[in-house]
Amino acid sequence: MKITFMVTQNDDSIKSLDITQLEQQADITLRIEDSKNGLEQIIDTCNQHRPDSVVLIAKEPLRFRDDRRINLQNRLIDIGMNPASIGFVNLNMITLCAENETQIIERLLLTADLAHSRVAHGSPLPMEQVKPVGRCLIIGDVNENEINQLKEKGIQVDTIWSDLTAGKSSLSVFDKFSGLPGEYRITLGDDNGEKETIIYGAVVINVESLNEDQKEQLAEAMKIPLPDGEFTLPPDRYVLTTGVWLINGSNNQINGQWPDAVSGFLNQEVISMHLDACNVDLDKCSLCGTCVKTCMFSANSIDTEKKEISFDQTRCTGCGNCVTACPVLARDLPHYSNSYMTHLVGHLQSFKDNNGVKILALFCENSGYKALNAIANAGKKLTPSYFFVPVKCGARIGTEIIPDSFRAGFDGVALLVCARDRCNDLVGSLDLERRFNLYRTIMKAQGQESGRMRIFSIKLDQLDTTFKGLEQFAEYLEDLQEDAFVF
Amino acid sequence: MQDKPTVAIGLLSGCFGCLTSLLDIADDLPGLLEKINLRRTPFNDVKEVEQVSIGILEGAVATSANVSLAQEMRKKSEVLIALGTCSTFGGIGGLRNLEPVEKVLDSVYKGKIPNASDVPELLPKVMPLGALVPVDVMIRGCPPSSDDILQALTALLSNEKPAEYIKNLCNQCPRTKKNIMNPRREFLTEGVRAVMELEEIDPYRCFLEQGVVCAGLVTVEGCGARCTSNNIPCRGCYGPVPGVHGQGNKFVNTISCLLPAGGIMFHDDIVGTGYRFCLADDTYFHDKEN
Repeated sequence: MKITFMVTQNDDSIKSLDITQLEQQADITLRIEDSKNGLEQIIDTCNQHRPDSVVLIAKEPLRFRDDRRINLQNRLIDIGMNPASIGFVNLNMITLCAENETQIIERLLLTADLAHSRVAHGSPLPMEQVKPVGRCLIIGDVNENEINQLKEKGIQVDTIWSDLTAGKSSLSVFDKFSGLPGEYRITLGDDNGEKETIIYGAVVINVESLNEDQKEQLAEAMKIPLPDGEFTLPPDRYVLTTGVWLINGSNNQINGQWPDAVSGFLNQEVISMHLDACNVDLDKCSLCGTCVKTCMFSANSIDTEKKEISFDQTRCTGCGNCVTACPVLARDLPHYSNSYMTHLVGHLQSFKDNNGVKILALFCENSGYKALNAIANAGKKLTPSYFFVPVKCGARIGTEIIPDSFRAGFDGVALLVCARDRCNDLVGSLDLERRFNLYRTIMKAQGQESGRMRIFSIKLDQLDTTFKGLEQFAEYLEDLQEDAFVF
Repeated sequence: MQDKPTVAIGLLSGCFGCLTSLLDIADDLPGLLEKINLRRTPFNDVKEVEQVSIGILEGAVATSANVSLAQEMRKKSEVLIALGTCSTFGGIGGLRNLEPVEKVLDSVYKGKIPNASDVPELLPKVMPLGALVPVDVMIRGCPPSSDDILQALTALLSNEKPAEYIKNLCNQCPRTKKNIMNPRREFLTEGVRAVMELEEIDPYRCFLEQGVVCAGLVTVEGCGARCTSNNIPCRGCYGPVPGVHGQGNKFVNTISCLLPAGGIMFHDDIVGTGYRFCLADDTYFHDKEN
């Protein structure tokens, strides 16, 4: 059973849309005008019907760290739904390049259909339950009363690289980091090379108080991307991953409050989490090593003697780089499955050519999403040639999307991904560039205009460049001579 | 005599190599022939196509005559076998899809294109047999090994499904890997080289780790790694692992994380690397799906 919710809020242009066709697409379609009561309405409807897929259409339903979204998702999980069965459609991506109501409806239909089909082609995320360990590792300087606050709540505290000493403070080497939130396994060492693995429920890092060598050790062990080679963090980010807090001296919003957050987290009876990790089909795996080489999070290892592959799903970020690279389809992502990616373009064949050219624009859920959303929020408009489709990360996009798109009548393909050094998945954008630049050579050899594919490396502080680039790309395709489109 | 399964063999646009490999079953051939009743084959020069239990077609569909023979064989065969890579994926001949057919003709006949009415017309694009008619059994390879052909036929004659491989050639390849098992941002080697450019080839080490492009990664096993065990990198003649959406594209997706693309680009024949045997299949992938 499929359910579509459309949150219209206070947007008059959306409120007045005739969504009769959208109603035919799903078993139940609900228009929700008020987002506060709407949440209850969504939960009630899902609780009653237990749908296989739910798609929420709204302005910015996918906004990064949006409380409403997290709240909704958690509530749906509470009533027993799997996160993989929930899809989102951002109206901003539709209105950004639609000129009139007909175009909005056309795009809405296709995008909602894609979102439902993504769920249908996917698989449920496995659930893990962890009883959090009441022990916290503090890395770097903190206030003494903050440590005391933690201790008062019954939490054992260790510090390293800190001017305050608590617990294992004699240790000075950060060696390994693995495990799930609530039970991270951290290997620490002392100057004499002695090592010890301790289980911590949570980790707190004051980045500013660390020296370069310490930052490097952390980044290496925790696989943290280092933009421009430096351990700098976006100003709005206090949580590196669940159970790992980031604090620093100049950041007043989190100072003084983090002990509450940490103790609240550690004093939970049980933490339930769905792992967004890739699936490995051991029957197909040929132990070729491609996944080991492509995974920068060291989630894979192969024992060549025993002929065994082991996959640590707690290290997997679900970026899909190994899935794209795996030559035998032994790997798949629950969210962006192989079969969805193969059928994606087929769903868009009916997309109409509005301005002479059709462009398929795939954007990553990190910078790509944020950039387009910000451009739309700034009130800018793109030509209706564009059709926007989300993908987890640039790493998940395989080159077969190019011939597929051209066969489906698209004239160009735009790939909107993070700039290389801003990719959360470390090499997502790098490997995308490697793949598509090699494929560009093949396009040339096949007599195709290689400019019909363009990679947009997005820096969020330079959105004008991205916007102008998108405009220019559409103009470039319009100017291309007819015979360039022979496939 | 009448109870034995009947077999017909046809040749589309192929080189007769796969049928030579069929004859190469050698010692087991008399035994096989006893179990079947051969009808139309290129060996006995019978041209008439009649109803048979098993139809075997070698070669790709590249001319109007190929189209009519393939359709007739399909109609009259209970089980239709696509024999060899041309038939299953388009093969080497499929590389002509890179150019328009007029240009191909012109480059061969230099302006003096024969125009006899009994010469079959070239199709605009070469296609694998499966793009034209439904195929029941695919026997891969350029050419397929005699063992593979014998096994598939023996299985069919005892009403079993011939074995299907799902892993890649690395599974059968005797070479060892080391560097690839190490997660690193850097490529396996600094450059890419052809096998003859290497001063010394380590016969026991993976080609990729020596900077040699080998298609074994994206090629299904089954050949027994005949080439790689004889110091020749795989060129991909067995085609992609079942389910892979275009062998060439998968090759790009995989190899560009392992070896410097810059080096691969300077290969004279970039399309021939990865798309050598399956270009025609990639062209028709979607038509098959729909």
